Formats: sequence, structure tokens, C-alpha cells
Amino acid sequence: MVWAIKTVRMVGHGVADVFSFGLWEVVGTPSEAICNGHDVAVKITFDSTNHAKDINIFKNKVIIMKNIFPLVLISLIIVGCAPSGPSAISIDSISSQRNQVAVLRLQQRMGFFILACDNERVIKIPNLLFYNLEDI
Amino acid sequence: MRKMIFSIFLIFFGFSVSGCSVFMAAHQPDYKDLSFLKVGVDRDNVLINLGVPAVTEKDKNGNEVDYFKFRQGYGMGN
Repeated sequence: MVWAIKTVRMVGHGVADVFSFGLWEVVGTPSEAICNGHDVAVKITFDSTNHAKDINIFKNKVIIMKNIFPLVLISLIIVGCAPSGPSAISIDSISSQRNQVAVLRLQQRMGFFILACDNERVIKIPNLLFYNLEDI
Repeated sequence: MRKMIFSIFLIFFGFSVSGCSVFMAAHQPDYKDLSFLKVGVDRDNVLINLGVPAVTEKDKNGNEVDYFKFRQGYGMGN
């Protein structure tokens, strides 16, 4: 079914391109760039028998990942923020919707704080992996 | 004759620039059906469908917690 959808879109773009002598690309390319899916994160807690006992699906919400040190470091260098300061650097802002945008930092043992913000406030939070500002 | 050449040129031009959106449409992320994610589902089943978790850790109760991250494509009706 997925391939059917892709095929329909491909054929549609191709036909539109031919009949518009390529002018369709002005519309088609940006539309494909925008409509390219959305990020999803899934958090699953398993019990001792390896069966899921709690499932959380985050759509268009922020994912805070461990072990992102190189990314943080590069961003710190680019942005010029001090790692120990209350700086918030947007690295993995998946959603553009306010209250769902968060900023993340590294584990505290590496000398970084984990921060989250919604462009209005910056909150220092414990070592969380997934964080949604609506949950505060 | 000139019209024919012009028409052929336009058609060729149309084909030559049609690659981008067609290519992008072909490389859109696949749609993952998450309907199987229900309480009680086996971890092996989850790993088969979602792949290797991005992060695995244990919570304070000692339960294993898996975090998956992927880009969801478009399926029928979404």
C-alpha cells in the first residue's frame, strides 16, 4: 500500500511535469519537501517477561537522546555558548509548534545540563530522554 | 518544422526537469503501521517491526525501556 501511494505521487508528478513542460516542479518539489512525513518517537517499557507494559508514542515531539556529545559540542562551537551556562541551543527541535519544542543537552556527568525550552522559558530538568513541555 | 522542433524541445525539457519531485516522492519515508503496539506485545515482535532501538535503558524498577525514533511516512488516510 505504501508503494502504491508513492507510485501515485511519482506518476502524478511525472504527468504534471510533462503536461506543464516542467513548470510543475515549482509546486511539486516544495510540496514533496514539506510533505515528507513526521518524526515519531516510541517509548516502550517492558516487564520482566519482555512484554510491553507501557507504550508512549510521541508524534512531532522532541526526542532527547543520549550520547549526542559531538552534536552538542559542534553546536556549542557554532553558537558560541558556554556549556555550563543556562544556554539553550536548539539542536533537535522536531516540531515547530510551541510547547512541543525542546532543547536538549548532555548527561550531567559530562558537564552539561539538560535543558528544555519552548522559546519563552528555559527549564533545567533531570536526566530525561524524552521530554514534552506539556508534561510539566 | 520549427514548431515540431520546439515541441520536442519542450517535451524533452519537461522530462529533464521532472526528476526532482519524482525522485523525492520515490524516496519518501515508509509508513510504519504502529497498530501492533499494544500492551502485552512481545519485545521480539517490537524489534522486528521497529528495528533496533535508539536507546535502551533500565528504569528505576529495573524494567527495560526501549526508545525508538523514526520518520513516519504517509499511509492511506494520513
